[in-house]
Amino acid sequence: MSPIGQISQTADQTDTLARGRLRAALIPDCLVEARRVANIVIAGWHGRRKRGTGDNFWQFRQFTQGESVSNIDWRKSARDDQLYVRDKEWETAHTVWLWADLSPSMQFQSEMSEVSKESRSLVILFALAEILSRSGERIGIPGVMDPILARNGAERLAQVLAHNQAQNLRNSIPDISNVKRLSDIIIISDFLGDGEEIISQVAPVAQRGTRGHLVEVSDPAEEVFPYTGRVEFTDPETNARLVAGKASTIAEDYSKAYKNRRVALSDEIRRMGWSYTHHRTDRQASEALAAVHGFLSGLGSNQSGGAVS
Amino acid sequence: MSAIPFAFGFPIALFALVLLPVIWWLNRLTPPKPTQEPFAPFEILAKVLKKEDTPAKSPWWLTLLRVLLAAIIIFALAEPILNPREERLIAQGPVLLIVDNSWASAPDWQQYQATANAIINEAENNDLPVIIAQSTSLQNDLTLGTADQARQVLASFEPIPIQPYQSDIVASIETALSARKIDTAIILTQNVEAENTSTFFQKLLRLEPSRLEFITPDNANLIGITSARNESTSVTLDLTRLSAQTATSFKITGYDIQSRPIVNGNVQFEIGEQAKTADLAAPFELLNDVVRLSVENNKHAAGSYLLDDRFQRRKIALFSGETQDLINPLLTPSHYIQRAAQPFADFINVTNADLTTGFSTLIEQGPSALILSDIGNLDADVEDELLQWIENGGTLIRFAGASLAATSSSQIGDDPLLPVRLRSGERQFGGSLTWAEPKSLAPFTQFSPFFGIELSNDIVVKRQVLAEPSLDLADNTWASLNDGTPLVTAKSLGAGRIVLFHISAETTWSNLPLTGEFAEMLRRTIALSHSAASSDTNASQSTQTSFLPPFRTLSADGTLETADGSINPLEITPSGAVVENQIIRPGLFGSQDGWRAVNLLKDGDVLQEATLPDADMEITKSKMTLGSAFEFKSWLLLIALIMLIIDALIIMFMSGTFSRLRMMRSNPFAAKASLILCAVLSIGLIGTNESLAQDNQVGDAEIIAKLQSTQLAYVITGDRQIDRISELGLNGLNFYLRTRTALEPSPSVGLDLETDELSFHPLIYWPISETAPMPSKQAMSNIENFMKRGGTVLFDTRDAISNISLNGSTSIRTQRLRQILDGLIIPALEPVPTDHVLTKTFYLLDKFPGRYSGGELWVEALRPETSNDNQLVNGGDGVSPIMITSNDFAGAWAMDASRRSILPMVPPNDRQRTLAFRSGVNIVMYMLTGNYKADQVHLPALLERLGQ
Repeated sequence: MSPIGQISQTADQTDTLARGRLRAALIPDCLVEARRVANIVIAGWHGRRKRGTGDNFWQFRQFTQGESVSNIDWRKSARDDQLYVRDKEWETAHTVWLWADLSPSMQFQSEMSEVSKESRSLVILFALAEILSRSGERIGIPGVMDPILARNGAERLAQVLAHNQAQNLRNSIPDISNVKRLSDIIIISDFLGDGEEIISQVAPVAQRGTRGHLVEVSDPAEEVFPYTGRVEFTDPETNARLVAGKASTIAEDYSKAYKNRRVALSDEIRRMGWSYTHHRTDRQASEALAAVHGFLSGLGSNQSGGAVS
Repeated sequence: MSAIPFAFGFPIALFALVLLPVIWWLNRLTPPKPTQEPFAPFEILAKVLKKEDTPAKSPWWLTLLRVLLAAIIIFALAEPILNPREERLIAQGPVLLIVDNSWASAPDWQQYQATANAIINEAENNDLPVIIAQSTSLQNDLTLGTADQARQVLASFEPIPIQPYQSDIVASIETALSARKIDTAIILTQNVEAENTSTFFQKLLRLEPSRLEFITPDNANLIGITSARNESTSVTLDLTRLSAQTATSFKITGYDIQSRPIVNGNVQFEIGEQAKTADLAAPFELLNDVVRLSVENNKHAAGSYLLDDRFQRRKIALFSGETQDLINPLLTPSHYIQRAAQPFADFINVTNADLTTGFSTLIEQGPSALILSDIGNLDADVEDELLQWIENGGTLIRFAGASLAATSSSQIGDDPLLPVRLRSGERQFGGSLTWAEPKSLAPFTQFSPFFGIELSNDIVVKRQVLAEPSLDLADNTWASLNDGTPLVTAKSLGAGRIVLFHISAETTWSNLPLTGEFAEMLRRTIALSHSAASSDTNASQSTQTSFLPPFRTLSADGTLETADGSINPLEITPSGAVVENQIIRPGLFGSQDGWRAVNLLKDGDVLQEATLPDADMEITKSKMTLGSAFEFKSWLLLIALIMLIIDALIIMFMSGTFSRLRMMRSNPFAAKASLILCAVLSIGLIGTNESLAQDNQVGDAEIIAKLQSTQLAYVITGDRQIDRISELGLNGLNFYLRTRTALEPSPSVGLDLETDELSFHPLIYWPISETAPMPSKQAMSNIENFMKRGGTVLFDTRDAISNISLNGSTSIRTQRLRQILDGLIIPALEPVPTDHVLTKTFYLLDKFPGRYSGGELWVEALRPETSNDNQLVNGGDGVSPIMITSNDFAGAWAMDASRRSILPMVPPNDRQRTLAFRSGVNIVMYMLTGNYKADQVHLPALLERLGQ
């Protein structure tokens, strides 16, 4: 009898990229809330509803003395006695740091789901990258890729990941100490490591005012615990072994512990003002994507994160 | 023999039972093996899981099951045997084995053979030569040989329904021995006393064996029918039986010639009663058809008795009133009668043609019927004698004629030898002076013995003698003309009968004697006569014997079967006695119109046991073993196997396999795997007792099944995701092919290039994966063979999207493909040109997209000479053995069970998916039809050339 779970091979970048793009196509252009990016002067594609540098028309106003004459819109001015200046809308870009945990535990896939956690994480990652680059945000991977602004950001991201082959993404939480205050951080992981450690890493950054979104990807088998009979469990990270004589008897205890961990972690994270989304690999990836998108556009500050119980 | 017929063939193995406690102890100690599961939230689990709460020991009942299993295997190895054969202590010297395969052996023949085999085996074990003989045959090709030869000889023996002991075989045995002495003589016999039993024993004793052993089967119910007589309303049987110690009831059944049971009855033997007379009551008509009487449950030749009374060839005598017409012998009535009756009757040579003087000598010869053709007046003495004879059962058949017609006119009173009173003179129709037309025959009435004879229309009667009308005339009439005047009349007289044909037996009165109906009427008339017992003492005038061919023979189990050429004909003297100078098999001799029955037992025979010879040597008598030895070994091993399966099921249950199966009912792989497991197990079970025929290669059925329909295949890369997509993709294409084209492919299969036979598949889809291991040398040589012999491999790098890399280098998978194809002989490739046949095989296509649309489809480059300007479409005669794409065809084709596409198109475009399916259809069609479509394009030109 084949085991329920398995450690699947590292997910195919091209495939996940294509799937990610498909998911991204379903999400409307991401308008990242610009409340706290008022002073950033790098031109982006998001109108900030005020006059500034940009490509799109904002308003006509009267020419005032001292302004550059080249700003005068002569066609408009010719209709009138007044001189008019064509104002453009101020557009800015925003930096979003993306992170997907590619540690061995993420490669776990049970028979109850179609894909491994890693594969799902990458799909969400690429989808987010696609949405964000399309809407002109700068995306980066902490420690791996500096923030870039490009139409094909998702592809660039995939290429970098392919060449870096995961060694640098083994940690569930990246080194985010250098992340600037006015950025967003999206971390996709199973968060099965030590909860205290995660908090201790996240807390200083959160205190600085950086916004963060944690997406927990879990396999249904981890939650339901379908094992029965005599089972020897192996830790994919450490290869430690543990034998359960009657696996079905501990299912209830385990489920409780597993859920307690999540509730504790998500409460702590929310308390810090970050969002916490739970996603199961047997559900559609778009669900997680929609949730994260909600948080990014500022809708979800008081929304509960996905299926957290 | 011990009280319980049970023994071990290899008792030393039982000592292994000592090991059982050890097995018990080991079993208790070793817990079942756990299933291995990787588990990501390991730390949480580790917190929950208390330290080792699993039982370290197996449950006691499982251990008991296993110990029991071990015990059964040990018992099986000890070869327990029920009914072990008694050792017969064949010590030294050649062994003489005489198998009495006479009639009495038929019911127990299997016991005979089993016992004989056992004796031969024993002789073989002691390295003794064996001489084996059957008691019934003189043609014993006797040799003193090995056990193997003896076994072959034994296999050729079969029970023969004749009396036992041809004493001459002793002489043959002596010849075969050539001065060696036999040590033990064993005779397998029912030991029924026969004529020559004692002679045989005496001769046997002259061989001077040191031991003589009689082995008899255990059959007390041997019963024989010694005689049967047909009475008017019953058959009387005389029965005799071998053992009179029990009171038994037997059922006796009478069969007709086609072995259909007609009559039956019971006979009850009391204790001590050895012979019995029984009656089988039945209507006379039924009894007439009885040919064989058989005692139920006595399937041997003596239990059946053949009757011939009704069917015996009749002896008839013919007297004719006409002058000896030696000039025209073919026109005399005698000639017609003789020719008509010869097939079913024997004519008695009438030495004295004068009836007055010749009659008494004739009667002595016992004719069944007497035919008087146109004899008018008889001498009064002869007439009395004749009447006497008829009353005793004779049949008189008379034909009219000129003299009879004349006589009846002179005789006013009754002629006792005529069935009816006749008018004087004859009646003539259709002559030159009469108005009346010649008359034809009326159909026979149901009460006439002639009923059922088909009458032809061309029978005409011109003259007849007329009967005086009387009250009983109609009753006495067997046949009449269509004006109602009788043609054949009959009268019973005593036990006999007088029959008168109102016409003459030649052609001047009617043309009836020329027809088959005449012969049939005569046959039926004669068949009604009783067969008189011939007085075989002194009547034979000639010494010439005649032969009757075998017609039906009595088989060893007492049924009638068609005689084959091996049966000797029956030689009979003119007086009817059987010449007994050879072995006569019981049966029916003659033809279907008349036969003689020969039975095994004669009237007055008694079945009794032969007295054993008395001599100063060790003579023993024993019974054959009841049943053949029954060996438990294979059955015990089968039980052990079943227990093993139960054990496995328990283990699977304990490790939670079944609860998981229930949970994962949606998973087709697990279900399939368990099905295959069950199938393999059941095949294993069936296979234990059967061996396969040699000309049936293993896997033939599988190959035939594969050849039933086209089957696309993919290469198993080992990456589960890719393989799944490949399978679903090809099945999706199959579905598309089924709905759109006449091709109905069977579900696609994955191939292991190294071991699987590739030649069944026209197209092999090979998705390139950088993680898959490189194919081995063997696999590559298989692929090369496949491509050389007309197969096509479709390589798919599935990277059209990432192919446009930033640095312009080839992708990892393209490099991989290059590595794979490195050792192969690959023709020059080109992207599919616009005039390639591939663009036209089913759909008209100009590109071949898959999930991605950027990649080209590469095929073998067309040879330049074929691409001349005259051709509208180019296509090599051979199909391109290789196609390479990067568009991920399978991804585009892949459908789930509900026919929904699994993977998105890039870019998401339904049109592109349709084109992908069309590409697949074109590729498959190209595979199967080659350049056929290229030819199709020339159709207008071809038609023009044909002048249509």
